Amino acid sequence: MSRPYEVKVVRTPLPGIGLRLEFATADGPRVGVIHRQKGGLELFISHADDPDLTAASLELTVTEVATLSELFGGSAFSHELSHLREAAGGIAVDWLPIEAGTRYADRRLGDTELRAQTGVSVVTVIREGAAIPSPGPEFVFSAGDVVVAVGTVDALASAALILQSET
Amino acid sequence: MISLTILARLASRFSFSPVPLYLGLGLILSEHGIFSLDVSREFIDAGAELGAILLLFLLGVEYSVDELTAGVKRAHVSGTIDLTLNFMPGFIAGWALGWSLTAAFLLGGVTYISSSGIAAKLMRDLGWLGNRETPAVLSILVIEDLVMAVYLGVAAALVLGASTGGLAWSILGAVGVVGAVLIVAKRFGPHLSRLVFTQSDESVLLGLLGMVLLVAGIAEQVGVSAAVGAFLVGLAISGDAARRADRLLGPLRDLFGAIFFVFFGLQVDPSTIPPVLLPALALVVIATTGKLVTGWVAGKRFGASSGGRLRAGALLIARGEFSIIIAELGVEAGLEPELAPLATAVVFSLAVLGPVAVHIAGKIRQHTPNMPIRAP
Repeated sequence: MSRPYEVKVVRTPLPGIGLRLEFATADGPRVGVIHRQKGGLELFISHADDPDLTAASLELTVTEVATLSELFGGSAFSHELSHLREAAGGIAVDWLPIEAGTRYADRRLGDTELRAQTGVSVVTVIREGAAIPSPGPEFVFSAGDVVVAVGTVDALASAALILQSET
Repeated sequence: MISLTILARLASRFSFSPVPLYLGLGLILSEHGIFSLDVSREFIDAGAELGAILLLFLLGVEYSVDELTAGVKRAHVSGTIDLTLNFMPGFIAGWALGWSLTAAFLLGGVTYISSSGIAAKLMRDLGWLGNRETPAVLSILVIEDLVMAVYLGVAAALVLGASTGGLAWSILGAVGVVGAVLIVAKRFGPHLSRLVFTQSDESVLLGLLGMVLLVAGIAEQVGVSAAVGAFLVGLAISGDAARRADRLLGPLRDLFGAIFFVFFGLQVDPSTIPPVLLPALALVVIATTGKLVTGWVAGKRFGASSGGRLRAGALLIARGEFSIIIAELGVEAGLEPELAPLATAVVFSLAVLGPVAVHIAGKIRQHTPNMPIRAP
């Protein structure tokens, strides 16, 4: 199919298991990743004839994820990132959106207690295409912001859960 | 012990829950009298209680308070349908059999609560975490577990034969304690987790176990059943601490959990089962239908097609560990002699039937291309 298609990522909390991020492909099947609470990532693809049912799922390690994204033609940045991971033992960067209607839209960075609760550091906030480096605890989020955070993969998954919690 | 190992192996090979097998083993041992109850009764008694407490504690560990509130928000309608359709059959059956209100209330609990252990294991083994209906199933399970925390408190009060006033008090107490712990866990959870999780595995293990048993003991003193206390402590623990708790206490739970289920089976005289087979069969049919309807409604709310709704229902059919914990409350108090055999028959059948239904439902495929993913 060649019609224009907007990829919309849907986040679904799976209580007791973790967080699921997924999108529907233009052909119908869904593709997604499950971030386990207990650590670990799972990639899944749904059936071609029943997009509700998982056709295949695969557990991946952090290094495997980095390698996979490189196989897709990762940018110079992701190439450097995989070196960073190797050097710093499982440290990764993630982009966490502040969605409208979530708890921390219009609240201060300090209120999230991200560092205390998960150990991740917020490096930058991207607002309307511009980067705001090293935001302090007084920084106030607004809907549409994207938080760039650094931490272990597990900590980033917990941080994602915190930032998308509802009011 | 050796037979337990063999059963657990067998169960994991066929991706079944070992719970019905443990129950069956208990039944067989009780029939042939291979196992002398008197010798180690006290040990088994204590072990069984510890097993139940650990089961609930680690269940609480799996959830965070945020997940609980989100689950309730997203699935309260289907959760209510679930409670009505699956609690009432057991309750009414107990009443029709001429049981006391307390015994009927317990049977309602037995038929109500799905086995989150069996459902979660099936979803993991089949690789269904990516399925569209999965969050619906998990939300229902979350609500059931939360209801269970309050229910166990009420059941414990009923079993103790509290007066109407005392009962109202203990219901209020249970709701109050659950609410208070949820708030405390939300505010101070991270601090609590840090407090316990500082040193070596050994001291963490002992500290955790001590904390769980202490709170469980206090809960029992206030009349809110030890299991509720354990569940709530589990809720308060989150993040890395939760992972460590699971790793350290998981094996203990499995050991004492197995003892608990075998012990329950041991208490049931197999000759008492045939007379209750007819009501058991009726309950199995109704309780299966109830869960299928629940799954259908919940799946629909999460945007699943008919195939997904069917899978959601099938996943909820299995009853297991909780139902037995509830029945054990009645057995301990010496309530209706028919409660234990009936509960055993129902739980055993549903724990076996549930996974079979799930495998069948998984074969049914729906052609529904290009359905948009709907955020719940």
